[in-house]
Amino acid sequence: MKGLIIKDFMILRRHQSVMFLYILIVTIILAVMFVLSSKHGNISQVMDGLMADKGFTTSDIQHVIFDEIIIFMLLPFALVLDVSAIILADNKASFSKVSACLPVSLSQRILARFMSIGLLSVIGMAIDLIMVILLSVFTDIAGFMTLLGIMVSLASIMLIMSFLTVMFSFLLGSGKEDYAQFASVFTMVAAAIIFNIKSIVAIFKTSSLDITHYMRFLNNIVDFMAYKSYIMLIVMLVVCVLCYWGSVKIAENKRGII
Amino acid sequence: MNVIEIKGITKDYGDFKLDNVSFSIPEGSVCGFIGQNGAGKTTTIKAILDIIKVDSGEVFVFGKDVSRDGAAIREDIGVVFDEMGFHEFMTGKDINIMMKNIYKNWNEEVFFDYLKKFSLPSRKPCGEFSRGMRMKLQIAVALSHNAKLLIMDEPTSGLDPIVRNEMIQIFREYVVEEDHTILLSSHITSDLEKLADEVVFINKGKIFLSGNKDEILEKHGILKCKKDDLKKISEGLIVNYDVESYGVSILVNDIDACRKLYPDMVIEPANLEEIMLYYVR
Repeated sequence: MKGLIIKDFMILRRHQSVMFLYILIVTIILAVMFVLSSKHGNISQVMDGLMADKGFTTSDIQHVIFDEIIIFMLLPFALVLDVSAIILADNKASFSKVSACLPVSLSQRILARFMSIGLLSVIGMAIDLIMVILLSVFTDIAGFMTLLGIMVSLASIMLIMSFLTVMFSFLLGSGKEDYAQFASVFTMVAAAIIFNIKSIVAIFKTSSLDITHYMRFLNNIVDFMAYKSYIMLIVMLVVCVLCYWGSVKIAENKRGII
Repeated sequence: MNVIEIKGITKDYGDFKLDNVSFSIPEGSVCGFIGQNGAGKTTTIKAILDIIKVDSGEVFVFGKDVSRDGAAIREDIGVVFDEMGFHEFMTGKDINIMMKNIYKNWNEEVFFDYLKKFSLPSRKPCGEFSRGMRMKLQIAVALSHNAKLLIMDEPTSGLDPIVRNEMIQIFREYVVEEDHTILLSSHITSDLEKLADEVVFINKGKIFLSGNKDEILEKHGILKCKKDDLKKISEGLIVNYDVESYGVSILVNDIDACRKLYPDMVIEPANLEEIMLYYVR
């Protein structure tokens, strides 16, 4: 089983190593620029301006900055958890022919894929941790634990998406990796909309000039990610178990086809 | 002892059905699995390896039920397919790292010895290998974990005669050890004629002939006669016949009986290809 995990890492090393270095460097540069700008540059000036002209509160500003940070922190996970690239490479090489003949059961092969995803997320977390340390030590944007909470939430979201992609790829069959990824994104967006339907309706009901509901909605999401990351972690673990079970059942039923 | 024992396996795909397939392969033998493309050879091999779930029937390898102990059984099986399933960027070194973390009995020294013996560069991506080199790489992998059974699906198809002969030599060396067994599927019967001890013929998902190769070759023959003489031949002896401009060629299933019954007629020995062609016609 360990060999299959190593093989997954070999695929990503082959396909993403240059991009990985690029993202690592960009992340560090962005974090440093953020630190400098929040102290002496544009971010500091915009924060003052928004508070003076638009009536934004300090909390609003902080949440807007969090939004930016979330996007930066999402990049490493999006890159290292490129599960569809691994599935696509396996299908292109017809690796299932090799793996089916190995002394590894079907459930172990799927477990290996899930473990690969888990280990890859550790790499994403390691990169994000650099940003978390830099921002928490050198800026007043947020404390270490708050940023760590955002990181855990982001890791959980990306892991959920990856687990769903694996399950959907078994469900849809080989050659449909893009559809599997789309299905996982669609499922997550749908779940997010259902859980926040009241807030979303409130945003659309109010005037376009009134951004109170919108800001509250964004603030709630960011607060949830920062301070209730344990919920995302639990959801991720539940989804992981369900997707593993679902993948094994689907693969067992489609044995010989996929 | 039988290394492989297949009892009445059936697999229905709708447009193709593996129909009540049964045969066994004794330990230490080379079994040629003969059939035209689409006859059901690969499906049977997949059933032996527990890659597909059969609708009915049982498969035993080393005396164990593959549906229960498939993963453990595969530890002792080396498999070679007609197409290489390794990622094209992978080098011999990469494959060694992967396999030594999968097979308990993986022997990297043996693996690199085989790469050397087959003149395969260990640092070159296997995507840059020729078809012959790719097959040799698969064989090197299959032989590097002390496999007691080698299952090969069309390993020699598409290869030039020199490489094919090299590969047959490798298989011969492999079966020198008494507990080593080979199941080799192919539609290139000349390779099997050189190598096989046992043969199993399959057509349209059904086994129509199986047994010891020499016995099958000794029993079958091509009887040549005039068109008018065809009626004289006992129907029980005729497998099939071919009407030609100068007469009739009949594949008979009992040469000795034919020689006694028709001493004046010419009976030539049949090879595996002729036997297959007459049976499936």
